[in-house]
Amino acid sequence: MSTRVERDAGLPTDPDQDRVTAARSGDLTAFESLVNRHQKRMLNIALRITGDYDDACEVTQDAFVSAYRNLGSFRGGAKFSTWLTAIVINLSRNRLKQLNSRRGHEAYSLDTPLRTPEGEMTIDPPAREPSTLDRLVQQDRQKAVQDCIALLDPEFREVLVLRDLQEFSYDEISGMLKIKEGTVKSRISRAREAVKECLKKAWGQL
Amino acid sequence: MNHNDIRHKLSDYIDNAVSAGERSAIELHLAACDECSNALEELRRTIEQVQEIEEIESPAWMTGKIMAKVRAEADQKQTIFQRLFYPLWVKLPIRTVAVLFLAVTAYYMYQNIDPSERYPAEPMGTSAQKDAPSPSSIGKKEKVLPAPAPEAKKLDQEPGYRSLDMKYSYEQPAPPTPLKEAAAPAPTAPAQTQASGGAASGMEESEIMRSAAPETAHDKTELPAGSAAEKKAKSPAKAHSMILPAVSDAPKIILSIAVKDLKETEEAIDRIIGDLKGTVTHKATISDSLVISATLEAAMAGRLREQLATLGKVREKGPAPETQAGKLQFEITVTSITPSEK
Repeated sequence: MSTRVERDAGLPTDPDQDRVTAARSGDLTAFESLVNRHQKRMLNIALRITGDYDDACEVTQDAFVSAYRNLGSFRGGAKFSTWLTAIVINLSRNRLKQLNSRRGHEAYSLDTPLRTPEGEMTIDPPAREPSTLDRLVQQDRQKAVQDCIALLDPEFREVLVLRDLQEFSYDEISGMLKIKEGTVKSRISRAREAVKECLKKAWGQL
Repeated sequence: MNHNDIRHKLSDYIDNAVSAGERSAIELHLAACDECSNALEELRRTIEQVQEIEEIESPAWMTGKIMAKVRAEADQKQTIFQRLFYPLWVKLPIRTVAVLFLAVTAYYMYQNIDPSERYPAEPMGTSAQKDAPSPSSIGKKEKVLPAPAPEAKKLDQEPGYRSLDMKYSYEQPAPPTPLKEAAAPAPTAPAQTQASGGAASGMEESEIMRSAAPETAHDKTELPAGSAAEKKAKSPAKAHSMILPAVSDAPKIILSIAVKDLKETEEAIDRIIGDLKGTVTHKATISDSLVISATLEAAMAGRLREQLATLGKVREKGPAPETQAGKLQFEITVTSITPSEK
């Protein structure tokens, strides 16, 4: 039974292999090119999981430094991007835990900016740029989707982000999160259903 | 597969993560079930909505900040590596310099220590005077002292632990005695305890060490005959015997005189003894004292005293000359009056 979704099945080797080899032997330029290639993707994964821009930036930086530090232990069993994503997921989880324990102790203030998935938002958001109605509608729709994703439990949010936003294969997700492929499938299914119900509530219909 | 099973498989069906058999079963059911085909459509739209979320660009400073941290990390790694694996041409000179430095330091340390090894008695005397021990501590010390005495063989090590043993601070700063004589100081320790037994005696002895040595010897002889202290006195006396010739059994009168000028007085005493038809048998200079041994007729003793009195204040010890007849031995200790004694 072949249930694997092999998006990169056509790629026999890791496209980053040479850069990784060079970086491991001390070539910082090679590592910099890895940073340039992957930082946007890692930042977006971190942002969708933590829901905070600053936290996501910090997680991304820490992930690359951690990757550099542990390049020696990366044996090429997985692709570099998969290995790096696993680091980002772990750091994002840790950040979420810290954040949740901190928020648990903080009193709410009217002056405190609201934390939204896109970052911080003040109570009275300024109209920073002239936007058309379409754009506003589009932004509203995107914000609703982001809010619905943010409402998911972290374990469901992670798989949804990795599969539907980053288009990793079930196999890759299974390797990154160290869970069985069946678990990945069921989590993705439940996450999609939850977002669907959330959006239907927000918009009335899909 | 029933309706519920198929509903749960719709997500996998969209991702093409179902087997061929499942696929055909699902498609068959979808054609018949509007609820399931609606659910599939809603699920597809949901995924589309999620995929439409715009990705944000990473900030321009991100790469720089990451690389700065990575470089710091790399420097740290390199430093540790370099420290461990310096090439031989770097390591060898460093080691050579280190060995030379150690050798030179050791040599200078030896040079500095050596003089104190050569003259251990001098600092010991001063320290004994400085740390004048309390009577109680002396008592304790002296109880401890007899312990090593029975082990006479241990005296082989004497020069080594001399500087560590307080006992020696109470002793005469005599030149090192030959080994066969070394047994002698051992019994002196308990003897000293009996004779003195107090801080006062400790003080007295350290003072003696500063002043003329012969006088010390004779002070000791004044102690009751046959007492243990007399044995103690033999130790310094032995030191004298190396300077002065063997003393005969003839009666001896000990005179001491304090003067300003040693040399002038020496000449004067020579002259006086010559005038009195006596003979100078021996002369010795010990630190700031001069010891003159002479033999005179007993009848001349009175005149000698008179003439010496013109030179300085005369003190006398020993048997009264009047009771003696024939030749008399005199030992005149001339001490110079230093400013500190005034």
